[in-house]
Amino acid sequence: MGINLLDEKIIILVIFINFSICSKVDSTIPEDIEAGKKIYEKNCQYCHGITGKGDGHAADFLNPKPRDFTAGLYKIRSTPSGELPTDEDIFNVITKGMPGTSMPEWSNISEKQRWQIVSYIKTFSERFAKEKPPQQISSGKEPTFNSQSIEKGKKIYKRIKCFLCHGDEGKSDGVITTTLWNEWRIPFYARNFTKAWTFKGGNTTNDIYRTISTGMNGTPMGSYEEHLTSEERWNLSHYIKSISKEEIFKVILKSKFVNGSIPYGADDPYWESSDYMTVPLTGQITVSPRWQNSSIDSITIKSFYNEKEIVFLFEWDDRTENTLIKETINNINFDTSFPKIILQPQDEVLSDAVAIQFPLKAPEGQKKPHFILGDSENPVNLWKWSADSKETKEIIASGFNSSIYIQDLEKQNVEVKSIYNNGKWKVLMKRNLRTDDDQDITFEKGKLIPFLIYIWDGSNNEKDLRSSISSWYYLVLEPSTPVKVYVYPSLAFILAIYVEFLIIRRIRRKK
Amino acid sequence: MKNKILISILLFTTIFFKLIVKASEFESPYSRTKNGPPLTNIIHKVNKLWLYDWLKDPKHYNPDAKMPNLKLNNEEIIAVMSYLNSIADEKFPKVAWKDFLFKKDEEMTEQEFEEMDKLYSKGKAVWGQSRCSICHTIKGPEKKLVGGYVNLHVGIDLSKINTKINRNWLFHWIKDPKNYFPDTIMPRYRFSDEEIRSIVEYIMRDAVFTQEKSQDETQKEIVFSKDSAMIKNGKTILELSRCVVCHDIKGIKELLPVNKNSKQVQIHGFDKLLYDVKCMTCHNIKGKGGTYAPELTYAGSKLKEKWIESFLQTPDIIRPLLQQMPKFNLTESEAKIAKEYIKKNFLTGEVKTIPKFSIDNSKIENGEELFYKKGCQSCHQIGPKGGVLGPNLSEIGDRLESEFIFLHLKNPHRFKPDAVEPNYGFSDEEAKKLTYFLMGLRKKE
Repeated sequence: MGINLLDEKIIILVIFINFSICSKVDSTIPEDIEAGKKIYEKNCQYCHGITGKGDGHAADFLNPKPRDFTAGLYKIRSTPSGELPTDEDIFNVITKGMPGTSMPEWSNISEKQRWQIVSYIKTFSERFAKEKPPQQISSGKEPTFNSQSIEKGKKIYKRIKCFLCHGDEGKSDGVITTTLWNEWRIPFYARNFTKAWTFKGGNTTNDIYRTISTGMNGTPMGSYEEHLTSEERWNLSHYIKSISKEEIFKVILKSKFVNGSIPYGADDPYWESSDYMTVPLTGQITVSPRWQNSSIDSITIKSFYNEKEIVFLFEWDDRTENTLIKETINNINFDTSFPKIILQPQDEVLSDAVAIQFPLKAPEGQKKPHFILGDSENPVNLWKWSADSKETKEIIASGFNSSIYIQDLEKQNVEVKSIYNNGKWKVLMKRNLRTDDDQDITFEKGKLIPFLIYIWDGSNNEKDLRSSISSWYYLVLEPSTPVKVYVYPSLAFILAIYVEFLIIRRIRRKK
Repeated sequence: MKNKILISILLFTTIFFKLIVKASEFESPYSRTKNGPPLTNIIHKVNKLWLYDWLKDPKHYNPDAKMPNLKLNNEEIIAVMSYLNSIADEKFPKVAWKDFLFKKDEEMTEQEFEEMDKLYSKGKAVWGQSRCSICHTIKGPEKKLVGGYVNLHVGIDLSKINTKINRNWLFHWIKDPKNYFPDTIMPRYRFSDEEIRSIVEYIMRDAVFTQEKSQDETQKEIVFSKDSAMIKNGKTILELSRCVVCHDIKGIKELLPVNKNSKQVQIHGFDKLLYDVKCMTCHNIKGKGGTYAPELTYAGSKLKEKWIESFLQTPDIIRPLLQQMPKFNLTESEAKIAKEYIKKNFLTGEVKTIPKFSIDNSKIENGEELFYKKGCQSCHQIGPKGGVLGPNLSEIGDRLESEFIFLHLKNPHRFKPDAVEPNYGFSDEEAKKLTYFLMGLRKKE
């Protein structure tokens, strides 16, 4: 009996099935893959893992987690939702890095080498060998960026329910984001649209348009290609661009002088006129317990002062308002590999908090106390506000391994106000420039005063040394401008004109 | 012929290797791909009015609802419901009910009432025996909590359940919960149809499961639209609201990777039992599963074969102060499968390090003396006397392996670090004496 045609086909099919389980086929040049492997193992595997599963040694400490290449799901693509990325897409991410994550840009290695990494990364997932090369989506013509296109985009934002995840004001506090996180402990965050520097795929209108059109594979962010026309997607990207703010990076916060009473209300319109700075924060990883997964990455600070008092306004985005310290019965903890959920009852929900830290005396020269709670020679004074009591307490610390104590009631000099609204905490602290307490810093005009910020996000299980922390920054009280400053230059100016006028007249007369 | 053999060998190896990948890795019942129930047949499950109110604001029905308020307007809700109506299976199996069961108590004839009451009383008894209230809370009329002792967010609150669901669905749900929701934690009790009917009667009739409705709500009428534009709109809303992240919905594209293993793979033996009864909701095996009931990782070294078999069929009270294991009505063959698996796999090597004990009546007395001298009876009960904090020891010799008793006496925290029992620091000699005594405590034939 000869082999009939059907049998032959089945054999091939079966061999193919077996073969595809055991080995990976790739169309690109083997030498490139081999070269890419070497570079990958030198640079990438510490986070992405030697097998590309996103489980490198550093992965536990990163948030968001490194990409698992074996799943074949890529977020930043120019191809339709669910499809593979083009080689250029992967290449671009390697070249530019991913803002708002731990992925740095790799422009320091040669272009050829980056292409070799692309070839190697593609071997991790069978999808690249099995599926057809993807088509890029067309982008259409971008309408002019103006108030009309922004206004249209704003309406679309509401119509297609972006707010369910991204929040009414784009602060990533939508009901779905908070439910997935709080109720289910599923680690998906919608992007905070007000922080332009954290947009994973870049923050130009082109980038935003691309993300809206292609979605982010493997996340609840789907494609809106079916739901919106090209023009609508452009309008929406204009709106998102319009509400996103750039990071204002400074080292010195200028507190302006106010004649009379200083604003004492977190929503006082007077704050709009204030100079402000964005202070970047990161997890406290110097002292045990090290905390790599802090959730608050920046805070905005404003300040004013008058003859008697100084006031600070702290504003930061926090998806959830955690005001109560309570034992929860139904607490579920997540395992990093979605969607496993492990029950851990009797975990507590903590309260949000913020603290500003000053040395007891403004230092002469460059020397500052140790940034984490000072040191034995240079103790620090913390003004710590906590959402559960809505009070600020002055705390004296002299090093992270020595005791910390709350000052007596008569030595508490800081007043506070706070509100939570639309995913944002605003906390206002006020104190006299000088106090009777010798453990309080005196705010003197024109002097550089170091300060440092801590933030605790209760929903992220943060307390004590498990916090977000900044490095030292400086505060300076801008000297009030005396009347003389205005009078003398104008007098000089008038005098100069008068003299010139006299000279010209004399010349004319001579003629 | 040779080719055919070759083909079959190849096919066989293919299937075999695929099966090996799945081979019994204990999966925690809490690791569900999707937390919400499937919505494809939701129309057959819940009342229209309830669904409307739920979509309007889930917190209104249940303040602890895990579903967010999607802020849909009335038209959007109707659109969503119309879409859900359009995807539901046309034929959902029906169960025949006697007409009078739909009547209110006062409308029944005496004979009907008597028949209903018989069914109802039986249902109440089955409810109690099955220990449903271990998982399900019922907030009674004065918000007093009844049941729900597994505070692990396992069962839903049943206080208003009979305003939400219908008899037909409830019958099928209790009969085979996995058929409707493959990832559910609800175990399949091996009830007879008659038992299910009685329990349905109890749930649908008892005032505990009802809540009075306001008048205007009951008068509202909801009509599904058959209009294709409306249905399409409903689909769009479901897509934009990302319902598919938590729910299975026919016709809606998945966004996240979905693990379909539990639905596709045919499982047998002990794996099937674990899946069916969801033992690991309460029990922990090798670090996976709940921590509510005793850990089973070393159960094979701890428990006697015969005892496991009989306990699984009719669970007895062991620790009077704690909750008891529900009666799942496992069959004899199922209990046998479980017994064999436990005896073979859930072992600790430590047991082998000690020599076998054999029953020796002459040594019982020494142990008994020591038992009362050390005050064990203040927590443990033997016969009618003793405390109730620890397990009843009257028939402990039938339950525990003697080597395990010995190891446990030497250090009660060896297998359970947070055990209440103090470590008395018995010498080998003392522990042996007590072991002989406890081994002798057996059921009187």
